[in-house]
Amino acid sequence: MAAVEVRNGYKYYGSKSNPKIVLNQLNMNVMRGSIYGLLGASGCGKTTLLSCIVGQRCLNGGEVNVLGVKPGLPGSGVPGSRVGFMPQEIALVGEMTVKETVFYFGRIYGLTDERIRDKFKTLKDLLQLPPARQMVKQCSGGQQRRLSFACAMIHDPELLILDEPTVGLDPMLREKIWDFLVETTRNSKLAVIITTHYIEEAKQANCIGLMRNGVLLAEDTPTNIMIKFGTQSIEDAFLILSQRQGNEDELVQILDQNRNQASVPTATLPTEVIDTHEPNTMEKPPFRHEVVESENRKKIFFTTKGTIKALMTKNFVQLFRQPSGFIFMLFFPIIQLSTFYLAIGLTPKDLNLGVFSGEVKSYSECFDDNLITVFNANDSCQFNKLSCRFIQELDDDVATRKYYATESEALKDAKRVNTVGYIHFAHNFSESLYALMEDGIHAPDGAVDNAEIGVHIDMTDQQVAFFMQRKLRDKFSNFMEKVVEECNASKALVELPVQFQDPIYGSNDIEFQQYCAPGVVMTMVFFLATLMTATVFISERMDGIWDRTLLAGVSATEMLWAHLLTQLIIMTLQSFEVIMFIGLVFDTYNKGDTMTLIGLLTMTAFCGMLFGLFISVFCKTHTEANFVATGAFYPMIILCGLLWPLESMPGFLQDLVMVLPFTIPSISARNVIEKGWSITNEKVYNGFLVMAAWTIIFFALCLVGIRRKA
Amino acid sequence: MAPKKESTLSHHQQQQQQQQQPVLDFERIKRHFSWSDPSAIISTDSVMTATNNDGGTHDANAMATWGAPAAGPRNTQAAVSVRHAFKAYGKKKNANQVLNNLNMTVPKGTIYGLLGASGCGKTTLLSCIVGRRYLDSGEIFVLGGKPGTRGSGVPGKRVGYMPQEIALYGEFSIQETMMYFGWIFGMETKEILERLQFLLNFLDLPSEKRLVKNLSGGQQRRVSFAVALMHDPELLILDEPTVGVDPLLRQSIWNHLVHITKAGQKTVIITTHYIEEARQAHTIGLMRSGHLLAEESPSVLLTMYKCISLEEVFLKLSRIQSQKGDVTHVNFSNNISLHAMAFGSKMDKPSSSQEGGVVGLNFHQSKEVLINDSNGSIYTLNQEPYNPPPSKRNNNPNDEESCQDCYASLCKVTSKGKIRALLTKNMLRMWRNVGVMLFIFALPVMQVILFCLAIGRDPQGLNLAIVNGEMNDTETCFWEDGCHFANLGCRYLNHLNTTVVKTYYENIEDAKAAVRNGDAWGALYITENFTDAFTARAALGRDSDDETLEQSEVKVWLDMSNQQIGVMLNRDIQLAYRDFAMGLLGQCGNNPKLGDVPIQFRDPIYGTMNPSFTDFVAPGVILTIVFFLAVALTSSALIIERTEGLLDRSWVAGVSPGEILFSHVVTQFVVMCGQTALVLIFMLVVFGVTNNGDLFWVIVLTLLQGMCGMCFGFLISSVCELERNAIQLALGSFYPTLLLSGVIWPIEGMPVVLRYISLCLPLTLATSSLRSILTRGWAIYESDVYIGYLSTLSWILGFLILTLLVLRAKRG
Repeated sequence: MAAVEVRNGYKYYGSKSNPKIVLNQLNMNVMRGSIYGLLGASGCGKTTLLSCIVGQRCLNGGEVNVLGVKPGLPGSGVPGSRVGFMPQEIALVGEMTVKETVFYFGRIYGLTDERIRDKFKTLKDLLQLPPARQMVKQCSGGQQRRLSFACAMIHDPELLILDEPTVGLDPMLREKIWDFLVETTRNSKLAVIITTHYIEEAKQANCIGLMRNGVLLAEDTPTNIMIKFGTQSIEDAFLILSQRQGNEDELVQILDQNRNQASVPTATLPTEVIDTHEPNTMEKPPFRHEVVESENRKKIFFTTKGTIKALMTKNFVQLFRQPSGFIFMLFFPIIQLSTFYLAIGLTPKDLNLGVFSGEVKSYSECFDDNLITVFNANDSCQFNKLSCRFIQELDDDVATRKYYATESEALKDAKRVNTVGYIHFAHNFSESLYALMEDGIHAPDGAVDNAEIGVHIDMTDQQVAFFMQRKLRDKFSNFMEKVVEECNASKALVELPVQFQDPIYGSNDIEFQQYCAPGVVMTMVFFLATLMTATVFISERMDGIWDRTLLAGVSATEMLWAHLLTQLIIMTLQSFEVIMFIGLVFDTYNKGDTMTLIGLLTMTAFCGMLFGLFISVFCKTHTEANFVATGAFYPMIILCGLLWPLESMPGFLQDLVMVLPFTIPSISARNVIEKGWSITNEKVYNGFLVMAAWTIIFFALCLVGIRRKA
Repeated sequence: MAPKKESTLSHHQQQQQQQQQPVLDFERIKRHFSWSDPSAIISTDSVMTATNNDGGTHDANAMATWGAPAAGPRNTQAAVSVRHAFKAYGKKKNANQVLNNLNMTVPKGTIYGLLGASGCGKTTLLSCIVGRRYLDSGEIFVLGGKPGTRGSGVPGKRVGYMPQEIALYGEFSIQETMMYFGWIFGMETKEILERLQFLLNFLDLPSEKRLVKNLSGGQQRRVSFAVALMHDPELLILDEPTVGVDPLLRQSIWNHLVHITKAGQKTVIITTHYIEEARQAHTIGLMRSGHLLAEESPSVLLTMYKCISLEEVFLKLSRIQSQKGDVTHVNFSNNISLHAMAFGSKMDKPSSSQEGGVVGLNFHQSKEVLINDSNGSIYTLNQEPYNPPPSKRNNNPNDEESCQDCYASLCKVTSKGKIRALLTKNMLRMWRNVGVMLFIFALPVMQVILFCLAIGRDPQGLNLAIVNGEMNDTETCFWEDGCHFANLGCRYLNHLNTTVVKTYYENIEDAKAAVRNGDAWGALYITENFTDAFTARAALGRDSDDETLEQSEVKVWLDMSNQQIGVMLNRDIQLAYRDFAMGLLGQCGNNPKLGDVPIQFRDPIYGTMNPSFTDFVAPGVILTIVFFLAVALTSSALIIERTEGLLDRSWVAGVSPGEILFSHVVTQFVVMCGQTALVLIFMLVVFGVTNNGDLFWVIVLTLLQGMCGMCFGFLISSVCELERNAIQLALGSFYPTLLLSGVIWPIEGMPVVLRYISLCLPLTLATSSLRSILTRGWAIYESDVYIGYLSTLSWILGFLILTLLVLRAKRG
């Protein structure tokens, strides 16, 4: 009875017009209870053939029958629990222990934990596996290989496929594996397909197939082959066959110019298999592919508890055993938040301001307690050295003052940026101010000029300069108010007739930090999640664990869900951490509902995570993934209105950025924090809507991408 | 020594012969290797068997002769000799012993097959032989010198190395690959082309214009082989050249090897775990867990162990070793002294295993002599006890010596060919990678454009809810220019034109509600008799009553939840009032200054009266873009090279890490010049960011920062093993650096401790220096300016030193 039957297997890569033929009308028969050695150099199509047998790829033409069913059909168990596959590379998770690895595969195959435990015990003795607690990455190459072998055997499959199991193995171990295989096949119906380019070892196989350039050159028992070609070893037989095929290659090429490709070298080659089927043409519609897809779709919500358990355990173990990733995950948000809250948007301190007053000879006069600056007499006020009063008014919270005897000195120091700038009073400042107060609009021009305080500031540091200007204005109005009060005049007289009432939202001395905090925190949360997930699938694909798990019958969608769940848990932790840190350590205020904010942040993180998964589904290498993540990161930060109000952008850009995932949500967050609006307000819930829309888009794209990959 | 003389004499002859041979024998070889000619194959087969026999006898002869000199440390006859080699990986306590008292002798002019499972230490041994790694203890002589010392030519011209993986740049064509290695070996271009033509025909390779990544696996392997043969080396080391190779190709590779060793001057070491193919080698060494189980010619081994295949011999030997080894294994896992004891105990019962005894008995004369020899070159199962010296790597004089050499090699001016090769390689690589090119040049431009468009302009179209009591409806607001005291409210509002969108409301509660709903950013209220009150206030001065004063005021309620917008509106409303008052006063013949706030901001010392946020942030943004792009590009450069295996290959070809680093620096520098030009053109020319200083110094500082970023990238890529870690590190360092460097907020706003930390970062001082140049127009001699250059330079130096230290440490 045949375990595997391939008829006229035809497969090419590349485009239809320029196909690179990998399997060329290949026929193959594997009997149950036997070992089949598939021999050939690398690149001859062995791996492609195997992947077609396990249903990972589909033939372009021809038929495959595995254990009586077509691979990939629902319920066929292929790929799945009826086949065991040991890939060429180790394809195990380095961070898992031996026991965890065995349990992972056991659960995926749907075994109960007890069965796994029993089986593990027997396999452990048989294959001399390393201690159960040892991590895979600490095992030697041979141990890893044995473990990989054990994982392929854990569920007693009917068909066992071993891709180069003995490459680079110690001869002792190689012998042991072969002995084991011979023993098992003799006593059971297990069929084994073993590939190797190490031809001599296949002598122990029941049947060998010699493969070259997508064609089986011969398929027979080792002894028959040797007898047939009159050689001492299979090696020599292969060499002879290769030479023969090499000659025919040229012949075929010449023939190809006349005939179409349906004429194949198989017909002329002495293979054991009788070619009874009509050779299929390339144009045969690939209906099988569609079948696989629809079947996958049915399976979206079909998953077993064991599978999810296995996948989740793997994800967590992988995450927690990688110290760098773990540290990155926990401490990076804290570092970022701390630097942000400490470094950005706080009031500049320790500034120096130059002061020059023409009224005083020595500045010590100003700090004389006996100095009286305002003499109130009858209806009018007399001023004396009023500049001193202003100087006293300037506290250290504005700037440290430096006094100069001449204006040119003050200017010189300001030019050298020892001070941010200087203020300067005219020599008759008090008198001029008096004149101005007395005469109002009829005051002489000279008095008007001299009653002003001149300020020269270095405007290159915009933020510092603005801060200085605002402070000086505030101090000046304080100063004037007090002076006027002492003169028994109305305060309003010296104030600008524009009166700023208490702001409706926020406060008058709001800081830059409060402005950009919502945006910064959201981008931070988003991109942390992105960075965490952007390489998940890529690493898995590179390690080979991806293919191996797929072959164990787990659908790609299930793997996506498992990752989603894992990351969701981590992400919730992370957002919680971020919120606690902001709330407790930096004690930021929030006028609105904290739960709404937490909800928004979690959604942001979730969206970021899906963005990461999206990247990892579509990118092939780590570098590519990181370029995409970085490339998305910078523009978004600049464009989302985090540093600067959106209203200042050109119109077309404003419309464009509204679509980005942070723009509206960060406005929502600001509305909650500063205005205390609830989620029922349109300008709050639209942030949620935008986030949700992006989440759905990314998720849909992930699903599409992963389907296509699978 | 007579034989030595002879050998040097023949050396010359054979060299000549060797040079002519390729040309002379060209036709014959081609016939041998043409795949479609069956007669040729048969003839090669016969040649092969002939050489095989020949090899066997040759070997026997050689054995007799190299018995004696092998005793001395310097063996001129042996191409490679390894004595008492120990090498362990990992920490001292938990060391993983890879080479374990290994002795090996490769005679000149032979093929030596080193066999063993993967992980048995083959690759480590080879890398020690080519000088890529150092032994913990023991000695290696390669072609008469110690590998890694100056003048030994190893690593360098005298060895050809073909690593296990392909280790070629996929983006190169065959010709470019050959050029690269040819130049490294210091060959002339013409010479390379000739050699290339020969190798192409010889190895049946396709057109030299084809890219390596488009070749099939077998063709790639042949290119890799061709590279190792390129410069006709004296010692050819092939690490698993035949893995997964088509049987025909395997045959032709072996044929060629047999052919080149025939003359007796070339030596080949070939590793394989495919034991049977090693039958064609002159000597084979069977290696298992760090030492050689046997070192003999294949035929001798077969007869000795009475096996028909080498496979069986190896299996037998392995069995014997593991029977003994099980005992030793337990002992030696911890420390070396125990390990030595275990060896001793093994000696107490030399014939514990039957087969071991048989070995001794069946052995022919010369072998017995060799075994008795204290420092014999041949080790079979009967290993003699040898106490490995304590492995103090740092105190080892050999190592000091070699370290001096590597200093010397660093200081030594590199050859023109090498630099040319490395530079061409880097450039081509970048050129062929379209995605990377886009990233390099499009990203900075995009960043600059986005930055200039989105950041720092004044917000436009802000909604302001206005209630003007002087208006009859909410539509028209009429006022007259000149000194008319009528509808002053409207006249004032007119000055608010620039940034705000005015929406009129009937009463103030509606206006406030609009703000509360987020429809407007602020509410502004002007009373019914604003004009009258204002006039009265101006006329009466300090005598005006409170009501007049209150009526003459404009009341404003702002939404301060958005700091930037709030502050900006606040400023605009005040400025509008000033303009309004000054205009009115001026037109009525008064001093307009009366309307101004008495605190007068005069001409700024530097900058303009109305500085933009863009001007403030621009210097920082320019530097960060250039810095981090350089980091992104270089952080993975060395890692990619390492993982592709090319670093090893170039190393064996005699390229020092310093040279590789230098070549990358030069390449990146060129790229950076392009980036800098783009960034500066877009910033300064297209978007008109202010520049009052010397453009030259701006360019210099930007380039220096790029260099600094590049060096940081190198540091990252030398520290990190994996590409993903490197990128995580590079990205992770970005945000904190950006926030802490005073790019978007002045460092005066930070807590004091943080401010000092910030000053230590590579970008902080440079940013403030660039800001001084751009906005203040300062020259280089100002301390605030040159300190930025100094800090950048010292960071570059620091990063470079650290990188070299790390590279050095990794190598040891």
